[in-house]
This record gives sequence, C-alpha cells and structure tokens, in this order.
Amino acid sequence: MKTPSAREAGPQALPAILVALIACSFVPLITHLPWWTWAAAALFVAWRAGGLWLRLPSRTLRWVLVLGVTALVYRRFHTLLGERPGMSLLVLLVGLKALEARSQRDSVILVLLSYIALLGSLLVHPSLFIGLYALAFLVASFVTLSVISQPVGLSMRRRWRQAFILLLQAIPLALIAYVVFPRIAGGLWRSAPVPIGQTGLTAVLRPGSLSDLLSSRKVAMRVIFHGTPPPKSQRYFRAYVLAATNGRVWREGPPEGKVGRSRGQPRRRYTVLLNPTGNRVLPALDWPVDAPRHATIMAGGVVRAQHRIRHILRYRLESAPVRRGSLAPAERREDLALPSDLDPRIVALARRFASRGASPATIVHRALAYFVRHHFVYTLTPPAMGRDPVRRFLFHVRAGYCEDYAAAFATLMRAAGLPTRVVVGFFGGEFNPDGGDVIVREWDAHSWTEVWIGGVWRRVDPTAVVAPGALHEGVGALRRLLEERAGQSGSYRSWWGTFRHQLRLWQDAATTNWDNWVIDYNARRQAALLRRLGWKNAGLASLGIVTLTLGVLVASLLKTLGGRTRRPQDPALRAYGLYCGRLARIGLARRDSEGPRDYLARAVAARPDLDLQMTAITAAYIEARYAQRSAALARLRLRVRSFRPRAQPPRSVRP
Amino acid sequence: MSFPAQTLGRRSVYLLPTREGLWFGATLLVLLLAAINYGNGLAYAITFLLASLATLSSTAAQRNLLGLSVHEGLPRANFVGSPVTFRVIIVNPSALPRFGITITPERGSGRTFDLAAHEHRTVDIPWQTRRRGPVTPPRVRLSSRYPFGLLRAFSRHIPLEDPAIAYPAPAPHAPLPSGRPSPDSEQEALGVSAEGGGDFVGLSALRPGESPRHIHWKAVAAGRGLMVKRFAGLAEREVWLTLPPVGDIEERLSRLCRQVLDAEQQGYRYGLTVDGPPLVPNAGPLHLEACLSTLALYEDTVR
Repeated sequence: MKTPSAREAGPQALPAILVALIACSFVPLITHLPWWTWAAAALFVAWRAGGLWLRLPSRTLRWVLVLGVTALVYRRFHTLLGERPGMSLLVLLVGLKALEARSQRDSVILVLLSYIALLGSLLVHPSLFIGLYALAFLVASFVTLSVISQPVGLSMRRRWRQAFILLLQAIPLALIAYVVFPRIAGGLWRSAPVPIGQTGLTAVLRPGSLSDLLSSRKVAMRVIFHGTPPPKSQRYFRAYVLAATNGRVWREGPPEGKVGRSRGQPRRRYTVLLNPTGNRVLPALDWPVDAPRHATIMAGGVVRAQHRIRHILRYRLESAPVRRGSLAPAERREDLALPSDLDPRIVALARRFASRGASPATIVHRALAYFVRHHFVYTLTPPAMGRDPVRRFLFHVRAGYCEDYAAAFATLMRAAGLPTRVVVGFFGGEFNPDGGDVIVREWDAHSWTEVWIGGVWRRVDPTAVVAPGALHEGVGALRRLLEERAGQSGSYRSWWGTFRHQLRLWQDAATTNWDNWVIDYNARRQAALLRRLGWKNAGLASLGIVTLTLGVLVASLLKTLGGRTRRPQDPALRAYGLYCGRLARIGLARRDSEGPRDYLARAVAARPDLDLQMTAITAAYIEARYAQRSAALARLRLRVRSFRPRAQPPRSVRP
Repeated sequence: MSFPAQTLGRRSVYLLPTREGLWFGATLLVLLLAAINYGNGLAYAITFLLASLATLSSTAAQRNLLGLSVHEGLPRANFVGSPVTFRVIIVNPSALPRFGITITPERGSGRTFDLAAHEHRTVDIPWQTRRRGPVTPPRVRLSSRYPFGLLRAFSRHIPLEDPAIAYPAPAPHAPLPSGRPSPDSEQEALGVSAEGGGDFVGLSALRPGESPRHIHWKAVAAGRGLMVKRFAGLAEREVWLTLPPVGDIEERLSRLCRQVLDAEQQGYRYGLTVDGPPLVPNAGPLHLEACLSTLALYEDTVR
C-alpha cells in the first residue's frame, strides 16, 4: 500500500525508469551540445540519487545553480535563443529539476521535459532510426507515467504490456491525424535548424576536392524519373559551372551571360528529393527547360534556389540534352582565359592538337587520344600535384581522379582556342529497384568539361574516355576496393557482399519512403495524397474542420464504447443456450417465463423420442449451474455437443 | 444489513484531465507548434501519437471504475461533537483488478486503495456532527487517476441513504434521582439482579435486552440454553428518568443523557419518559441505545 508519510515528508528516490528515460531523451543530442552540459546534468542527477544519504541543496543554492548554468550557457553561445543554447539550457534545467523533484507532479514535469528534449533530437536529425527510437521512447515514457501515478500494485511486465497495446491502438488514430491535419507551408516564425556537418559539392575545384567525397556514402539526392530513366552513362547532373582558373583552382565565373534555351530530344521529366545542403544549388540533369518554383536558371544552365536549402527539398524538372544560344564576346574571352604563367609545354601540346586547321571536333578527339596513347591512369587516390598541377599531371604523374582530368583537359582546350569550362556535379547514381529511384550519393560527385562546338556546349568527359570501365560499371568495385583498404573485410563477390548490398538497397528504399512520407510530407504532398484518395480541393479550413470533427468523434466514441466490458458468461449457461437454440430450430423455443424444468416437461411432451437426452442435459445443466460442479459441466458440454435433434421424430417412436 | 448496491454504469462515470494532464496538453501544444514551424513530419507524428496515447488511455481510466458497486453498511452513532461513522463497502464484482480507487465524501479527505479481482473493501467515513438528531449521510464519490495520472475518472455523487444519529452531548455532571425498589414481583421475590456487584445467587434464563456480560457460558456449553448469572443486588434498583421541567431544552437533554449513561454504568434498571410511550425500565446496551436515540430524536417529536 501507499505510504502517505513518505509522500509528504522529504523527497523520495526518483523512479529508476524516470532517470533512464531522461538519459535516453538526451542521448541522440550528445554530440551536438557542449560536453559540460552533460557533465553538469549528470552531476545533478547523481546528487539527487545520492540525496538519500547526501544533503540536498537548499532553496537558495538551487537558485544560485539556475543562475549559474544560465550564465554558463550565455558565456558559451552569447545568446540563450536558438537551438543549441536552448537545448543546452534544457539539459541543465532538467538536471536541476531532477535535483529538486519531490512530488509526483515534479516527476511528471520531468517526463514532459524529456519530450521537449526528444523534439530537439527529431529536429536535428529526422531519420528513420530516430523515428523508431522515438516510438520506443514514447512507450517507455508511458510506462514511466504509470510508475509515477501508481507506484505499487502493478508488475513492470504488466505496465509495458499496457503501454505497448496502447501504442498499437494509438497508431491508426495518429496516422489519420497525420494525414489530414492541415499543413501550413513556410512555418510560423520562419527559422529552421541549420543541418549540422554538411559536406558535399563546393563551388571550387582544386586537386583533391572531389576525391575527399569518395568515402562518403551519404545520400546527396534521390531522383525519380517519370518514364524510363536514362542509362547510367547519360546521367550527368550539373551543379556548378566553373569558368575562371588561375592554373590550380577553378572557380565560378562572373554571373553575366545569356541563359539560352534548352532544346532537343529526348526530354526527361523527373523529381528530385534533395537532402539539405545549406547552399542554393539544385542539381539538374543536363539542361533544364524551366526552373522549378522559387528557383531560377542561371547563366551556365545551372539551377539556383532563392533560399538556402535547409530541409529536404522536392522539385520537379524537365531536361533536354542541348542548349541553344550564342556566346557573347565577353563570355568567349572568359571561357578562353588562361593564367599568364601557363607552362609552355602545355601550350605547345595544345598547338599540336590544333595544327593544320583541325576542326574543333578533331581537336577534342586528338586530346582524348593523347590520354589514351600515353596510358593515363584513373586512380581514386591521386598523388599530390604540387604548385602546377596541370603540367605535373600531363607530363609526370599521368594518373589522377576526375578533377585532374577535367582541369587538364579544359586547360588544353582553352590553349587550343576552344571555349571550355569545367562542370561539377554528380554522375550516374545507383538505380534502386525497390524504391524505383536513382540514389545519388556524395561519392558520385564528378567533374567533366563542356566545350563550345558548333554553337552548343558539348559535354566531354575525359575520365570516361580514360577509364570507361571504372566510371560506368566498375566504380562500385573500385569503391569497394577502397573500403577494403580502409579495413573492411570481405570480397565484394561473396554472398556476404551481395547480401550486404541488398540490405543497403532495402535500407535505401525505406529511407526513400521515409523521406517521401515523413520528412517531405508538406501541404502540397498532402493535397496530392488526398486528391488520390478522392478528396479534391482540400483547403486549410476544411482540413482543420475535418480534423476537429474527427477528434470530437473519437473522444465521444471512446466515452461510449470505451467502458464496454465483456460480461463473462457462465460456461454452463452458454452450453445450455446452445441446447435451447437447437431445440428452437425444431420449433421448441424456450419461453421467457420458463425455467429449465418447465421447459423440459413441455419439450418431452412434444418430443418423447428425445426424452432421455433432454432430461440428461437439463439435469447436468442444473447441477453445473447451481451446484457449480465441474464434472457436471463437462458432462453437459459433451451431451450438448452430440445433441442434434431432427425436425421430424423417427417414425417408429411416433405414437 | 445493507441497502441495495449502487453499481457504476457508463453514464455515471465522467472523465476530466488532471492538472498533470493539462500540463501534458500544454507540452503537446509546444510540440505541435514546433512541428508546424519546422515543417517536421516526424515531430508531427510524435505529437499525434502522444495525443492519441493520452486519449486512448481514457478507456482504461473509465474501465477502472466501471462496474464497481457501492454497498452501504450500518452507520455508527456518536455524541454531538464527536464524529459519527458511515460505513461503505466497495465491491469489485469483476475479474479485472482495480487500482488507486479513491473514495471521497463531500467534505473531507479521501481514502485510496486497490481492489484485486472479486475483492471488496470496507471504508469507514468519519463525519463530524454539530447538531443533535439524525445526521444526513454525505454523498460520496469514487475516483481514480489510473492508468497514467493524466486523466481523472470520477463517478457521479453517490448518495448514502441510511442516516446516522447524533446523541445529545452528555452534561459533565447530573445526579441520578433516588431509586426505588423494583416493582417487578419476581425480581423482588428473588432479590437478584442481572448486574454485578453482589453475591451470586443462581441462574435464570436470559431475557431479551439483558447484557451478555453475565451469560453463564459453561451452562451454554452444557446445552442448557442461555442462562444468566444472578447476583444478590445492592444495586437492584430502578429509576425513572424524566426531562426536568424547566431550562434550555438542549441543556436538559444533555443532563438526561448523562443520567442515562450513569444509570447504565452503575447497574440501575432505568426507564425513560420524555414524551410518547415511556420506555419501561430495563438495562443493557440495546436499552441504552433506545434511550439515547429517543433523546436524540426528541425535538422532532415535539415540534
């Protein structure tokens, strides 16, 4: 039983599960907050746990601690607003609250604070894993609430069971609310957490800038093609066009220039789910026809969003293979510019390609042939290129990654008099048969060149010429080699490798669906889903009303249905009811006023042929029901089971 | 002896959020605002799940009270100024164990207990009295915060029907009138009393209303029926107690009450005439109770 004295006098021990719950709510945030917030919070909780034999801080000291931790957080962040300072403060205050918690109410408040902490983790990384974690967390939190409100009397097993069953019941309800609750585009006060630790493409190309991404499995974007996806060798997603170089580094040129128009067949229509990058780049296949909403097509034919991309972004595009336009003289100068200290050997080599009035196509061809003839090697770990990377690459090392090829090739073409620029983006990606989409990862980052030939920019990918196998099929194999070198065991041809690959594909498919239905379920997607379910023009107001109505409906249904308890029926009565039903079928229904004996008498009078059976059943019933004999119950059941009266009595017995 | 049980049906159980429940709701609002602002689907999902969990817990909260039946025991009388006691028996007729059931009278604090399957529990509710006479029983209410403390299920007010009686408070001192020999010829001839204090003179059959204190249990064991030990009585006296003619009625009743108590304690056979039919001289707890009740209800019969 409860001990009221313990409840009133002095703080009791915090329930162990509550301490565990608080810890669990902060675990996903551990890496995002300064270490001393943890240390301090853990110290407070330990102080509280030891408080049964240690003196707990006085009221004044507690206030001093509150002011102290607030000052600490302010010193570290120079503000108290914002995600990280806010979460740090929350961690510390939860610790302090645990320190002073003495009543049931305080414990409940700790649970509620842990929900806020959980929210913090959801906002920082809304992944499928965190989703599952949160689900388990909710169950645990309700077990904790149960322990707080009813400390004794129930076993933990029973509490977990109760909470788990409740979760199973709650999921459909929450699902409906999730689908119909009106989504407000743009948020309320327009601030979103900046994704932490973004890597990815940069607007600068220097030796080694892309090979750094090689080890990153991180999904950069997912592309869903409407219609047949283009073959892998045609999947070039352009992100940056780099026109300015100083011989070592390639950068974006000045933003002027004509945009031109995309032409040609085949057109590709596709939807991109872009993971947040923190910049405004929207990678697009070849040459996009129209910019998506809140985005524009820039001079190089690349797409830029109006704002930095902080959430997963979904955009639809249509792309054509070529772009027509003219090259203004200023642009032409820009695309031919070379550093003044260019090595004369490079210039000489380029002159050789352009000799005897060769056509641009011939120049390109000769340059590519040069790579092949001199056994240039494609490697994922190029050696250092030094101060003059192009010269060193062309004449000494003759091995490199795509960025080395693109830079060297562009330099050669410019020296040969062809306007050329370097393009950075993604190549290929992996088609996922389970998700039906193309997954583009950061290691798919690639660079190639575009040469102005015949009034259009032609894509020339020197890497593809040098190492067609590596780029088109064997990239995965090369990557696995790389992974193996990094210490991961297992050959990729083994069943284990295949299995792991399949697992990853499944995981990617799940992630795609997750991104589709959880991360990116916004107002537009909601409208689309509801339209598919047959509800046209679902506006904010009507959705709100429907949500409210559903809520009231559920609440009232719970009130009326919730209390329905199944009345346990007496087993003897049930068996007897079966017997009565069978008699009713042959026209001998029991009247409401009749007791079992009267009923028997009337039935025997009507059907003397069934006398023996009916008498035995009635006797067994009376014995089982009123004398509570289990043997009689068994007899009753047996007899009733074999009691199958015919509508007509057998002729021989008929009087 | 109890009144027909009152069983809690679906219509007599209500639900309201507790204060913790309101805090819970406020937290949900914070989560929802964050979900809307950050457009975070996962935050939406968690918010709706939490709301559904809390809403669905109402069925368990309701079921914890449903089907409980409240029986009423015999109330215990007391003197004005001391609490009378109402007795309530709460029965769990089902196989479902109930947790944290609190029974709260209209005024005063509640009592919390658990009920296992098919268990029942007797709860005595002390009830302060200020006036002499019948005490209207309080209405009681069953409630529980099971299972998560977010919702409070509570029953309608259940009225108890059997009133208790508050006897007049006994005056501190009131001398007994002088007794006179019992007119009972049989008693006189025998010269014995049912009360102690004298020499043992023999056994006689138990008369209704006599104290069981002097039952001769050995005789009972020997199968001779209920016999009472008789003692030759110094105390074999009889008094008639009456309301003094003048003074404040409550004061007079208090004095009379004291006299009744003293007469019982000192082994008198006492009769009482206040109004209506007189209570013929007798002794024993039943007679005492009858006398005290007459005093308690006196005003009602006069007015």
